[in-house]
Amino acid sequence: MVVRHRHRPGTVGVLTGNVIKGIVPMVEVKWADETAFEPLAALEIFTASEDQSFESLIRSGRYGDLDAMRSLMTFEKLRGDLSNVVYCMRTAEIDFYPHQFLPVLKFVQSPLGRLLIADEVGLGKTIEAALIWTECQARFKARRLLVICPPTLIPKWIRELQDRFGIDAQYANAKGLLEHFKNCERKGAGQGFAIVTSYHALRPRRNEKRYLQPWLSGHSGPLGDDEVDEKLEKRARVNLFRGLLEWNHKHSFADLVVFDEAHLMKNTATATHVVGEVFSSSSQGVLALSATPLNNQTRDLYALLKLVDPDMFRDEATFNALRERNRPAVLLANELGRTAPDFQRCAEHLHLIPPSAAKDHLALHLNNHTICAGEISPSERVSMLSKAQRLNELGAFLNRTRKVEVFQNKVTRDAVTLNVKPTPEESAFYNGVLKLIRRRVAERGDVLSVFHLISPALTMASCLPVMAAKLRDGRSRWGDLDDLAALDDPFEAEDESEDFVCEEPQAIADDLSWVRNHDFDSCDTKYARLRDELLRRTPTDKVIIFAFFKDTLRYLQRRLEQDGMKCILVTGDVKTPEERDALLRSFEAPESRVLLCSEVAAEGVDLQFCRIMVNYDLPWNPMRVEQRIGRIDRIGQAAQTIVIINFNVEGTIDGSICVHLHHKIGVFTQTVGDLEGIMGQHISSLTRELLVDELSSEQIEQKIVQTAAAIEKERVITREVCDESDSLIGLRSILQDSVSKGETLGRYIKANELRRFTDEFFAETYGGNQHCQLSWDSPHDQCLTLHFSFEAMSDFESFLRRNDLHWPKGFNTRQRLTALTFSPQQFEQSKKKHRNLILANHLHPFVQWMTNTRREGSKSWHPASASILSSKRWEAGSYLFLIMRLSLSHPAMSRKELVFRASHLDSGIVLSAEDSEALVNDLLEAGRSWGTTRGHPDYSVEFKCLVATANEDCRARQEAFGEDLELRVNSKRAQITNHFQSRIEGAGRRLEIMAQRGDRARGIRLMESQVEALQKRLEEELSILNGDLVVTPQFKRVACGLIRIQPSH
Amino acid sequence: MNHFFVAGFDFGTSYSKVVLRDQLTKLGKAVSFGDEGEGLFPSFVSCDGEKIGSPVGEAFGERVPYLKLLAADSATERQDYRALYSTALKTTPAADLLLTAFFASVISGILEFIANDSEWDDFVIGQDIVVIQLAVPTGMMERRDSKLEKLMKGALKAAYFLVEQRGVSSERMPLKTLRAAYDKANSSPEDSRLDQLCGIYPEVAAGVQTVLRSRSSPDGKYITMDVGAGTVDLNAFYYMSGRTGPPRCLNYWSCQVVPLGCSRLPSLHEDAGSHERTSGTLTSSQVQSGIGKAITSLMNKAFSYQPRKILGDGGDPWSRTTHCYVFGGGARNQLYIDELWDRLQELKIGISALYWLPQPSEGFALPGDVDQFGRFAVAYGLSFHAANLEEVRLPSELQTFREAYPNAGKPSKPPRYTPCTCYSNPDCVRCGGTGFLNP
Repeated sequence: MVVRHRHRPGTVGVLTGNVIKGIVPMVEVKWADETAFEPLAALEIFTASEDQSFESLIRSGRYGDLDAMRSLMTFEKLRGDLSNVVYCMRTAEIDFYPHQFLPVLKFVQSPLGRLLIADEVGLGKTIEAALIWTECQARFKARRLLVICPPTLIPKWIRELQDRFGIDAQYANAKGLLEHFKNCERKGAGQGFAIVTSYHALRPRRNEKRYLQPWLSGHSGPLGDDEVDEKLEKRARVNLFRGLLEWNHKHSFADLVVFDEAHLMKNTATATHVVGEVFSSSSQGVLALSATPLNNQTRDLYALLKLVDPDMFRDEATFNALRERNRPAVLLANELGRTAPDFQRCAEHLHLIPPSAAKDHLALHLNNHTICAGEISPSERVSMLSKAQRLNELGAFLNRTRKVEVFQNKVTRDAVTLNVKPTPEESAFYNGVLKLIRRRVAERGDVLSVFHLISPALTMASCLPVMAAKLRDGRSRWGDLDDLAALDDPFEAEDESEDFVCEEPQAIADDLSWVRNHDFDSCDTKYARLRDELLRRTPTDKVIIFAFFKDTLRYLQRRLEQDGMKCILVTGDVKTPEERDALLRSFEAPESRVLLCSEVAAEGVDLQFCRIMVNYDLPWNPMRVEQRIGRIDRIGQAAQTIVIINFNVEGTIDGSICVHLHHKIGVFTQTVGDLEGIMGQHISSLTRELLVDELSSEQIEQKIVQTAAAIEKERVITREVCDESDSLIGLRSILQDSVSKGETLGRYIKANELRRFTDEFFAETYGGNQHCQLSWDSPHDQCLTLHFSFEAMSDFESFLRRNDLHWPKGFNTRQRLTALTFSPQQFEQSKKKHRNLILANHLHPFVQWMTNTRREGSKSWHPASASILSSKRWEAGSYLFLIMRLSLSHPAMSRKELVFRASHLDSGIVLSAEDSEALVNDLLEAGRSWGTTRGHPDYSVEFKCLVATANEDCRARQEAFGEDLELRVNSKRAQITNHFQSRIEGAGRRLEIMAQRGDRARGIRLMESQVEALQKRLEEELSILNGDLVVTPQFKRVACGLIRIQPSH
Repeated sequence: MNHFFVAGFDFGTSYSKVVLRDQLTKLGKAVSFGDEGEGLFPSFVSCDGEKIGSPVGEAFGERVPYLKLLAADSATERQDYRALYSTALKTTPAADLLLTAFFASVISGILEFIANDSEWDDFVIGQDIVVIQLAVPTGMMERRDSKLEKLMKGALKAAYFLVEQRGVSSERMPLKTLRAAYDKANSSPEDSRLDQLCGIYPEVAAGVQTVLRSRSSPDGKYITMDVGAGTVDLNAFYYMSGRTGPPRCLNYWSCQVVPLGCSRLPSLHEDAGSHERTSGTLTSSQVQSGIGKAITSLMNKAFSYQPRKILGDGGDPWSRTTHCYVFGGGARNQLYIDELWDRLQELKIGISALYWLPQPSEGFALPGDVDQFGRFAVAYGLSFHAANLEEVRLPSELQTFREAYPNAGKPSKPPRYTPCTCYSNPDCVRCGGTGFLNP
């Protein structure tokens, strides 16, 4: 006879016939996972024909326990396709900053998966990119990640991806990438990788670029030499680019390509730009990161957006038209975002927007309000606002977060200026050299020589003893700079040849011959001031000292170590990135106190564990200063104030610059991220004036003050430009809202959910002699020591092989013993103690394996539950809830969401969708089963009402989906048409060239068939989009149940 | 019947613990006595020569501690533990009466807990049922005359009888009343109602139950260690889960109780001859010198107890791994556990990892401020119905694998009834609606 347990209605068993008679009769039942004696009173007869619908469960009060409900909900989330779940939340070892999830949501919601992240320096763009990748993996099953960055940042990327996200990223140059490319071509979409590479490794050399010309769009110049170098054809880079440009598979080469420091590609004439162009067009998703996308013109923004989506932003005219078209949508959103929106004005803006279903819908709403002129409820406003946001086409491509928006308790900068009074000898030496420089400038007379001569001036300002030593050796870098940029980037000089012999050592020797005999080392006033300052501060405080020149740094190292302070020296001499990394890490050790660092060496490095930095010498350009400060003033800086120490050597130009320019602009006290575009010109003209003319110190001061005023003036203008660009992006409140909702409503996968899932999975899948040993809280809290059985291990192995996944770190077929944790915080705490511990989030192959096995299996959980929750937040009494899964899909876009609805049974009030979700979330978090033996009343009527509300909800969402779909289809259609058109054009161009060259007929035929194939695919893709926009929704009931809220004490 | 409770009663030397489980809803809770948040019930009674009072009542007369040891002395008719309590006590009433009074106060505490619990407040005495399952020290059960077993069960029955008669109360009980109740309860025939309400079970095996319940345990060799402050209980057994044919059974080859508790680390260390004690913390090498030898000798004893019988039969044929669990208050002492781990490895008996006993995730709640499940392991294990607890063969009853499972490896007989896949569909043509296919 088949029976069911009254209190676990989901479990059905068969009586074995064994009975124990006694005061409580017990019968033996064979359940699915065990055989046990049960009290007869706890069982009821089960008939297969029984009605299993939710209505029937509610009517007969057959509620199961909360654990089944928890498992059910976890599984629903783990399946990975819910649109409103933020899958990347809490998966990595990072602190939670809501602004970092904004780009994630934007990316996921963006129609084409292309985004430019233009956050200010130090807001964690790397992390945002990695979060987006995590989200892509969970949602779109993305597998191929390519990161392109400047070479110095490669180790940082690899380390961050590995340590924080558990992504095993590899470095590859063009050759390595070509191999992956070939694999990907051969094996298809299943191939997976995470590669970090550099612009320098990829950018085509001049002749290579010429060779690739016919493939590149917009480069319709004449083909270079007729004879193509055979060697060129064999080069990995050339093959890679050709392959990418001719790529004709359904899947893209990379699922996501990340361009770090994307502004490097801004200039369309450069080879770096070609890299961007090629990789952008051959990838599914594109993410460009740049702190400074805008100079004083919006054209730069266009150049970057073109890289992000070459098809959407084909030329500047299209971009400008789009901008114009977009403006009313932005204005509308801004208007609606106000506390008291003017509906009349809204209607005006709306009128200018091109027609669409979304617009009509919004117009209807607006009309109601203009007519009634009544109050508008916050929820209604938010829904209108989100509709208006959807109309904003450009906003979807750009995300910009400013530091001021993020830091509520912003780190304050404490600038300390140390006044140094030089000795008469030092002054004499300084002025002597300066005079010499000016004289030589006058002699040469050309502008260039100013830049040639700046190097010794800088060296001198940096450190007199070093300069003196150089003169003594007859060795100086007298005009060895051949690049104008060097003025803006003085530190680039560092990597130039060091042993340049002075052209006329004699000339110097004549003027400053006394220098040879003077001991500058022992009476170096600047150094003495530094030493005193360091000694005055707490010895545990770590200090970073920045200087331009290696010689200065070496000098400081020698002096400081003589004075008993342990220094670590990082300069451009440290060639391999790994070595530099190791040095910077060794600075974290408690015994090292001072880091001596040149700017080249510190680029892109996070040193936020320090709070004191010293500018031993000062770049004249305040942006450089800002970048130096940016090393420590960034997210993760724990200190309330950071200290910036500068030197004002009296009677020097540098001293005046520090006092009159930098302090005036406020570089030491605030972020001046918006100044980058302005600075270069002003600083170079100032430099020229200061060095060419014989000026008195008052005149120098005056010049500097003038420059500061000019910069300040332009800053105001630039701010306006930036504000305008912000208006391109529109309001952020809605996204911000959904990030915080994701956090509070538990729309992410929690560590304890994974724990329960794992426990249940192993208990049910591997029993008896296939059993796996799970030991929780071992070796540490929230960790799991798992001993696989042979069967489990081999299943895991074959899963990996089937899905072409890499063998994960920490798993071993021979020992079959693994220590893992699902909690990033715990991992952070214990990883140093337990080297073997691994962090497994829901994307880890291990969890994927469990989810996959579950998905393939037929396991189902009892959908109805009765539970108790002690809470102050909710009104006491009983609630009925219903969770539905809504799936809407169309070839261009699909959306799956869980819809929550709950009602208070005593008052009959139906909670809003959000409140209902919060209630269920609280329940899953802290509730317990309501194992009552008293039975539950019949709530059919209330349930019917709830179902009706939920259906209504689903319909509203369906409508919103329809509106989104229309917009998306439109933009996608434009993108696809542009994309294929440009490729067809490119092929046509090559065809022409081939015809001109008189190539063989076979080759031409091949090319023609390629064009035809492209045409055909374009038609195919368009036919999908041109079809009906009718979406058939699927509603599936997931769970329902009864909650009793007890007031907590 | 609304509720059918089984109370697992861990009778400790100084403190007792009870876990209560409703067999209908499968919900279990550790019982808190009075305001005691720790869930502990002190194991003593007060006595003035005429009356015996419960530990929670008003203090009077003299305190009689170590009831468990007293009972052991009484059953063995020896004075092994007399030194512990004789000095304070002038006239000691008979052990059976002391135990009866103590058990009665525990049962009262349990009933009170049920009455005060919001989820179980519909409990009706007389209509709903509470079965008490008492853990009895194993070493003593091994005695042929099983006197201790009789004594404990007798006292438990008397206590139950008394509570049923008097209702829940913490008043002092005259010796005469206790005696009358003891005699009355134990004069009823075997298998009476009281017999069914009061069960006893070997203490070591009760802790093991928790291991077996905490997860779907595999067949194989096991070692479990209850690391207390003073003593360590070591069990070595093999287990058949019954999934693959033979009945569920625990086959012991050793159960030892030794004074090797984690609080004895420093003194063990001193015993080993080294007197340089660092303040508070011992280094690993010091622990090694102190405790290493003791553990090794214990293990050797445990595994050479009946080696011939176990291994002479060709060893166990089904598993080379030994599953090793530690629980109890001392299981969280990392120094101790590290040392234990090293010693276990030296034995080379296939221990690949040492597991802590995790708190069951389903249907069990500890008292508010208790975070260590390990301390309640024995009581938890006993809160399952006796019919679902494994049969225990103590070392004297040890059977080899072949003896225990004479049919293992032979083709199994087809089951008497095969359930039909139709789930008793009345229209089923194969089974005629009975739900079973006849052989």
